[in-house]
Amino acid sequence: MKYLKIKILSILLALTFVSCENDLTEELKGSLSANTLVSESDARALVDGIYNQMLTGGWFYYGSGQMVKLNDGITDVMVEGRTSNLEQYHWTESHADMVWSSAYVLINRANTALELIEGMDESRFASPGAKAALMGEALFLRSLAYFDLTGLFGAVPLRLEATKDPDELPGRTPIGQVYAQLITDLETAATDLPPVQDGVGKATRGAALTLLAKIAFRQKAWSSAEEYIDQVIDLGVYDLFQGQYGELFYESNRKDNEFIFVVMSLGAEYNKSNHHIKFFTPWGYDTGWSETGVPLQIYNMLDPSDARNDVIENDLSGAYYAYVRDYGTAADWKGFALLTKYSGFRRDVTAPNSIWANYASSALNQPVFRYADVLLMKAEVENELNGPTGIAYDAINAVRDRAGLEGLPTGLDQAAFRTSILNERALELVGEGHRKDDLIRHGVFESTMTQYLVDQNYPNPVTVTQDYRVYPIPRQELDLNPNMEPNPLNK
Amino acid sequence: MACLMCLMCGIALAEGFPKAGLPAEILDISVSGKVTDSKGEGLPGVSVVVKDSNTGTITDVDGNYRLEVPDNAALIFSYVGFMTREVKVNYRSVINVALEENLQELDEVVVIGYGTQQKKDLTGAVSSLGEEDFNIGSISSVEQLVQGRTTGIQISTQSAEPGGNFVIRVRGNNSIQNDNQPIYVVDGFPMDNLDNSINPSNIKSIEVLKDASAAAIYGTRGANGVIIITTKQGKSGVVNIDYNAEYGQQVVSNLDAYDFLGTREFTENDNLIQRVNGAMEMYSPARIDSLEQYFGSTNWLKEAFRDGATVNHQLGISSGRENSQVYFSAGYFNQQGVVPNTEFSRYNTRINLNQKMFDDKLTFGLNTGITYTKTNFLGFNASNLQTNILRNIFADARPFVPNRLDNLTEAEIELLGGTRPISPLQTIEASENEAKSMYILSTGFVELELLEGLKIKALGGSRIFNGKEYGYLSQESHIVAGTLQPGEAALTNNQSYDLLFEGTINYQKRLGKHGLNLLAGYTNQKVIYESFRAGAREFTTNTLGWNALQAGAIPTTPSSGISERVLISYLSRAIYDYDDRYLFTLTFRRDGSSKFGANNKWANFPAAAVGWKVHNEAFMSGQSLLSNLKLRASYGITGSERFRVGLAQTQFQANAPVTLDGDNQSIGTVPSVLGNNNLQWEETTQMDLGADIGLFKDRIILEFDYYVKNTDKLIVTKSLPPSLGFGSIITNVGQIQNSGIEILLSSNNVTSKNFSWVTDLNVSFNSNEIKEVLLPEGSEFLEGADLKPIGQLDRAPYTIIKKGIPINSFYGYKVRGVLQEGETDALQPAAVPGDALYHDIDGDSTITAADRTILGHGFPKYLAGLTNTLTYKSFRLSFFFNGVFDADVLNINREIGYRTNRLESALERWTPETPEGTRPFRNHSGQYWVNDELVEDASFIRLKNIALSYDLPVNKMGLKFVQNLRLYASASNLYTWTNYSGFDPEVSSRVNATTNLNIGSGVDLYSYPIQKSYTVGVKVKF
Repeated sequence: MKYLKIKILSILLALTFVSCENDLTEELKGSLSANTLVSESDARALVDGIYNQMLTGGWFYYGSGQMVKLNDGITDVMVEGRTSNLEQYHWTESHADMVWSSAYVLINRANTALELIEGMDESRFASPGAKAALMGEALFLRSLAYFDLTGLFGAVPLRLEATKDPDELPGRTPIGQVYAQLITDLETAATDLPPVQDGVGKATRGAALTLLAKIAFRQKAWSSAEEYIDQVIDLGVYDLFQGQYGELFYESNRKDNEFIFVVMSLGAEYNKSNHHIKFFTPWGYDTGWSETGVPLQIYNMLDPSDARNDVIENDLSGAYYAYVRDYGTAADWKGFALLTKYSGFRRDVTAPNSIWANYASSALNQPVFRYADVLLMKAEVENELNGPTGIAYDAINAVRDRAGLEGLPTGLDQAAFRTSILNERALELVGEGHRKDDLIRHGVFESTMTQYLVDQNYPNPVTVTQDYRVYPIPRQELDLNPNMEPNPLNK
Repeated sequence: MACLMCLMCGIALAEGFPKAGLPAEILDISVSGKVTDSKGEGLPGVSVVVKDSNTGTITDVDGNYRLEVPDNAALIFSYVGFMTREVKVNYRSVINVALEENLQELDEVVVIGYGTQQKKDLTGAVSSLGEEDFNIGSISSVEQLVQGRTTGIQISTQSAEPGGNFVIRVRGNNSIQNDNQPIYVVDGFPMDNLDNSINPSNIKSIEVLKDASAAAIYGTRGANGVIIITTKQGKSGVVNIDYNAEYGQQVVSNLDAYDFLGTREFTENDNLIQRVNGAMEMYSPARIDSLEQYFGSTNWLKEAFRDGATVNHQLGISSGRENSQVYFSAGYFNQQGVVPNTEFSRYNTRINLNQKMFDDKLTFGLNTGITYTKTNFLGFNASNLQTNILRNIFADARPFVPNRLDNLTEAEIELLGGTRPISPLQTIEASENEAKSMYILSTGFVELELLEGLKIKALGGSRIFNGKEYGYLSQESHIVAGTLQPGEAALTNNQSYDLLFEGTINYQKRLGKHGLNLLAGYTNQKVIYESFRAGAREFTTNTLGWNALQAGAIPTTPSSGISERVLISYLSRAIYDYDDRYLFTLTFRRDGSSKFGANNKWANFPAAAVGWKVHNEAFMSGQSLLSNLKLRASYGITGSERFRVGLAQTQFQANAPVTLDGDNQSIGTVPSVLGNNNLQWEETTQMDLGADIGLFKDRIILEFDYYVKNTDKLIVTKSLPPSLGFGSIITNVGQIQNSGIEILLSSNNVTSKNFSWVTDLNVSFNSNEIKEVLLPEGSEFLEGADLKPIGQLDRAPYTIIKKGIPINSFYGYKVRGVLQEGETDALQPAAVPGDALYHDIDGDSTITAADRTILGHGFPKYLAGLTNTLTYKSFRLSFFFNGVFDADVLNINREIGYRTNRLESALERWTPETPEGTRPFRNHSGQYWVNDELVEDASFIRLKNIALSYDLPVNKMGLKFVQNLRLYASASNLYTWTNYSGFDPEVSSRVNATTNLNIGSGVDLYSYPIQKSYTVGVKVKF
């Protein structure tokens, strides 16, 4: 009897040995693969994933003022930090590396999204044109990334397909070819995108047209610039914010229709919010991290009645710490005025003492394009094509009027009018990342910046040459990609 | 392979079943007697077996036995720890036997993975530790039990906080990126980490499999070494109740290691710096006087620490009859850390059962341990910013701030600057962090002897882990940039289900001079890991803490995850010996892992070993010097697959939050991983040559091993050019070599009736060299681990990965001095007085990043342990020294203390007023702070443990039911001889949870200091 039991047990044991096959396929339940992404909501999510990269976790690209520092911080409108190597033009291969890699992650996301959405069945989309509009958003975002990259680095690798093979390494694409591609893509996007979206953070026809105008400005293609600018204006979607100037940058006005394209911020959690507050606020003023501000030369250009005094401040009476308040003025404290477009007191007008409780993040926009910029571009393009006409005066005076200023003196010649526009742009757009392009376009980048470094009394001031129009290519790219050519400052 | 296995079962079944007992052709007689030890004491539980049969019994409590046997049979008496004796019955009815104690350690049985083997027959390099080899004192973890006790294994404290982790390396670092910790096999169940889940007092033995021959049976998990843990089992014929109670106290060895500036020094030094900078001095002489007068100087370090305490209660009950044995235990361990709010508790129960049936043909067994641990912790990662109490002290605390901030007058607050300062100790009070973990480890097996020597075994087991982590940061807290915002509560739940099935067939046969032991098996292990996290903030009260998340107005984003991995294996081993002189072992394992890339699912791990017992050769007879001489050689391949799941596949994640209307968020889908279909295990090829020597009847035992280990196809993250849009892929490139020598010496110096003296010495030497490394175009090395200790310091790499040097080599600048006033420097023309000058390592007459050089290495080259055990009558005294030599530590605390003007090192700053200062006035800029001034020699010799025990004379005291009553006292970490200037040279701060300690060990940055521990205890055996 007991041997029967043993026999049965043996058979059972032997059976357990048989039930052992498995194909070892790894099933990852928490992630997706290309063949699961098929519907309109997947397409929306893929496009949202591109927008997400604008903040790069809240810390890079448009997330913490990097674009502002690299485009404004190195110019005469902004002190990026008096002892900073970036400020003093001792640029290294790492100063712009995060923008480089953030932008290319964005580009790969856009390429992936475009490929996948392209392959999706039209029937999976609720309305005709929805698919094209989503692809339009992706094209706009990819074009903006290339616009940023070419502005900072010159000719860059133009990648239009999702990365599949890590051994296929790209080289530079001639800059004209890059811009030609952007113009094609953006014209498609401008056609397919609606003039108004259901969220002000989404790309629109106006955003695509503004970017086209910006590209035309870089190329000084004035007549096509004029066309694009007029199209933006003719959309009738935008106007100038008519409240107190400084309030435009309050959280409460983040959806104002002066903004054409903005990178929005949820203001609740670290990785969904931008971190401008910390990067545009000195420690002790109201608990920021950075020694940024506006040089006194620019501050002194401000008329006392200029509403833009709201965001370029010298008065420290509102500072958090007593010892800071005791200095009286920022000029006495730091040697520059404070730029408070993104600083703590702009966070929420209704709760000015909420700084500590909500230190981590803010719901402030990072403006990319706004209507005041377009109006100043209108004035500029008109002046370049036809001289300082009434149209040009009207455009610039609209912006001055909103700032509480008189119109420009009449009778300026074209050159004087050009300079007035440049100065107006400095005061109106400081901290929004346009100055480097402006100086280069006006041909005064090298001279202005050489003089600025001397004026700031920096030790052994650098003589700024054309080489400084672009940053060094990040070291990592050069090290890992033998097909990539360095920039002048890499050497 | 699976089919082959089944075929084998089939053959076994076809052969039929063994015959029971012996045919009764010869007359059975009844034999009885008593089995005693050499002193005449009865021995319970001795196995008495009729030779060449299955008949047998076990002696009772007094050592008596009775057995029906054939009158011409022979009886075999065997008992653990005694020499086996064979006695012919020879028609006698009473046979009394005295067994001789087996002093030869070589007869030990060693657990080798899927089986056991006599130590004397081993061909591989295996360290075996029994209870008598374990460390004594306040032991909270398995690692502490064996730290320093044997060769080839380095165990060092990562963080000395209660429940803290260890860095464990068997024969060095094999990998740059993979986890280099060994795997653990607890009662046959392989697992990656112990996580404090095993009660040290349940452990009977620990074996460390070091060479390829020993570890190849664990295939793709064997390359880092295997630590086999066997828990205690019940014994037949005896009932033992063991109870052990222990109380210990811990103090931080040397809080004085860092001299903090007093109020006057701090303020005057601050003034000096401001003055030189042309800025306003912050402290007027009158204010300094007042500060000193009102507040004195607070040493915040001393305010932060307290005495720690440990309590340990362990109960073990073991009982058994002839066919069934049971071991039961329950335990409680608690440690109050030396920093308030740090505590670790463990509650354990264990039940181990063993049942034999059908004339011992069938054996069932079940081993189950249940552990619950509770840990209260503070952030001791360097990145935890203000949640790290030591960071607050080294970087923030000011000496004139008194530790009575709730009790300040208006005038005092005015004196302190107008606002009430925040206490540097706020971290301790403001944050509550708790982790509760439950582990159930259960293995059951059934083993059937089909034919004599042929056994088939099925083992199933599971390890269930359920861990919760709770965190709450008080609303009033001023802690910023911690893991939680003020007023935020979070709950994290991690669960894993680790499921194992194993089937093995084992055949053992001795035919004359030929001995054979064959093993074949199949295993399947699946691990399911799940995590879930939820949280909320904006509570109206601190009272609820993490206990009611719904009370928070704003929920934080919940997250969850799940991953699964499967490892399927076929294993086989053949052990053959000829004439007890020549030993051969062949091992082969084939592993398939779900983690591997689609093109590389299966891996093969062969190994071979030979042994030659020279002392059994005829030519060795007649000499008495060498009682044992065995030469061993082995060669084989093992692997490591310790990388995360999901690295081989291209994936998308729906995890990219964004708001496009400023109010609502949507979740974007993004490509997250660029897959690698060729991803595979790391492969370690190891050669080992060894000798086991016994002298003077094994009074002196010497074990010697030499090994060379090459690990190939290293798992590395290959950085991709950023323009590809992916940061990296995981691939297999690179090679590391470890080679070393291990010597173990054990000497019975004196053995007499009342006094004995035993000395054990172990020495290990390991040399590590990177042989091949994946490099980007044009560069000669990779930067290793990096660090940004505080805001003022730039993130900088501090180790280097380069061909020809050891892994974890420190890398930085060498300081030449400080430029004095009126001087200029040819190499650094831009330097102004007070700037640091560096050596021009590459000789190009400028100082650049190319002037960094190797400054030291974080893993020690030499390890040693020395134990002396003296026994006099009922007293036993042991003292154990361990030593670590040729290792370095980067002491970053001191650099921070200088930067932040907190430590005496701040007074070494050069200023025009103190031109003799050696530290640069404007600090080291950029990454120059990683320089030779940080590097300190971390070699040490430590009196790791000294223990004295006394066995009370229970017989004389009339305590009949007490078998043994032992009182003991021990002191751990009593004294350390070292040149290291920090708290302790045994330190490896983690910068954050993902710090790679293979390349980033040996940093001292705000780490929890190691403590001296004094323990008293009592052990009773009923």
